[in-house]
Amino acid sequence: MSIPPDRASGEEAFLRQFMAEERALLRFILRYVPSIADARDVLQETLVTLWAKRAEFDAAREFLPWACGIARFKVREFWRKQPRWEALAHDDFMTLVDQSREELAPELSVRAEKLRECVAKLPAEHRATLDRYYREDEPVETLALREGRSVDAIYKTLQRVRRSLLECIERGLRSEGAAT
Amino acid sequence: MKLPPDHDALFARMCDGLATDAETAEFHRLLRTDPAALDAWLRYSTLHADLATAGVLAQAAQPTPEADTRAAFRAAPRVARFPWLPQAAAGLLVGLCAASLVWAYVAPLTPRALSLLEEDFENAELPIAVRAALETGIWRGDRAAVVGPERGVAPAKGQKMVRFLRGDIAGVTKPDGGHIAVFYRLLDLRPLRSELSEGDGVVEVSASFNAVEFPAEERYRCAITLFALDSETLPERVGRLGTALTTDALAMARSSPMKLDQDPASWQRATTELRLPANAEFLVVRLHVSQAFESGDRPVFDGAYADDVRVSFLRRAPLP
Repeated sequence: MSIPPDRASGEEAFLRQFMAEERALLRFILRYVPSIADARDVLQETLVTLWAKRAEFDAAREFLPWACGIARFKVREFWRKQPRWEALAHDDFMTLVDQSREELAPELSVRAEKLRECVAKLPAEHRATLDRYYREDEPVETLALREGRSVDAIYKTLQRVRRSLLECIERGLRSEGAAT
Repeated sequence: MKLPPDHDALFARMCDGLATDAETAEFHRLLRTDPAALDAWLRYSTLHADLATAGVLAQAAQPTPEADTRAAFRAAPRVARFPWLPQAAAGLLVGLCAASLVWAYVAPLTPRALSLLEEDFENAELPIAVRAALETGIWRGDRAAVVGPERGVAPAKGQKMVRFLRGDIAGVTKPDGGHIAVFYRLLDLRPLRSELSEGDGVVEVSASFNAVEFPAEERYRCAITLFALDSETLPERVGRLGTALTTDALAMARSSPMKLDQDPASWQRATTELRLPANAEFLVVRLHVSQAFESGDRPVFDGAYADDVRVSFLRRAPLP
């Protein structure tokens, strides 16, 4: 089959954009679907739709806003299909989150910088646990087996480490007088 | 309004997917009615998202002696409802597929995944050719070489690894001026047809990447891309694969692009997964390294490596 050059180059552009923004898209979904596993499922559903609609992609437009629009629809779909989340699909929760995020944006940006410093200060074993959980997507059950601890203990560790990171960030903000 | 003392635990349970229906309802009520709780949640969830996506952990990652064994140890995440494949299908696949396709459990853990490929390049065929027929059981793609330990890089597994040499097939110049070097492996999924027909088949793929120390102004990224094809969309030759994949593939997925570090002693593990359409007959695994800098017309990759590629099949129900 012969692919017209314009079409091929357009789809190549789509593919490159898609590849470059996948992580940003997951980050966007996590705003509304906090469980990483659920968020990855929503991302997967989003990618399926993006791929199906790739012919509609206009290379002159920015890719991420377009993709986030589809992701937003998929988030609502997820909420509607999950009984415990269904309530959110019928009110302005998404708008509420968006407005609050906008107000907090400058602070959240500073916090992201502080987080890098705070992660570097973590004990090696805590950093390793975070790394396996977040970066390598290792199930907690596997982590527990690897570390010879209970699943509950791993979850407690994750909770404690996140708390210690938040406290470290707060200390950093206070020391710079940037805390609001 | 004062935050409830246990809000931190509630937020953690939401992030880890542990919250009960009652806790989720409480979470919703709290965020809708308490602005302070909403702000606290945004700070907490942003940290959670940063850890998951912003690369802060990658930057802080320390190589550990056990790193190479992680993939073997790793079980598929969130697998449930796994009706195990019948023995007959296993026998059929062994008969149809290349010797490097192996049936084994990825790890003696539940849930279990079926290993479709474990490639350590100990016996990989050379050369990895461009103008060749696309067939299962061998690697095809840009010029590459199978090498032993060299220039401070030791194989992630076994005694051999593959070294990227040029970006020939892709050949295209990226918007920022860099090139991409790729190679492909074609896997035949037809023996899994009955399992795929239920629409809950997922493949998980992981691979290790490494690079020698390179000039500070250069940046390289690595990733895995997966494409599902059927017989009609499968091109005959490797050279046509790139276009066919971007225009005709039934489904695709890609790992997050990962920046290669400057440490030859540490391998970086990329992972991704693809939900297979019910009519998928072939899977193309594409490994690639890209130049994220202006490299003019020189598609040369002098010191990027890949090793320890693993492909697993599992079954996971789609979203309800």
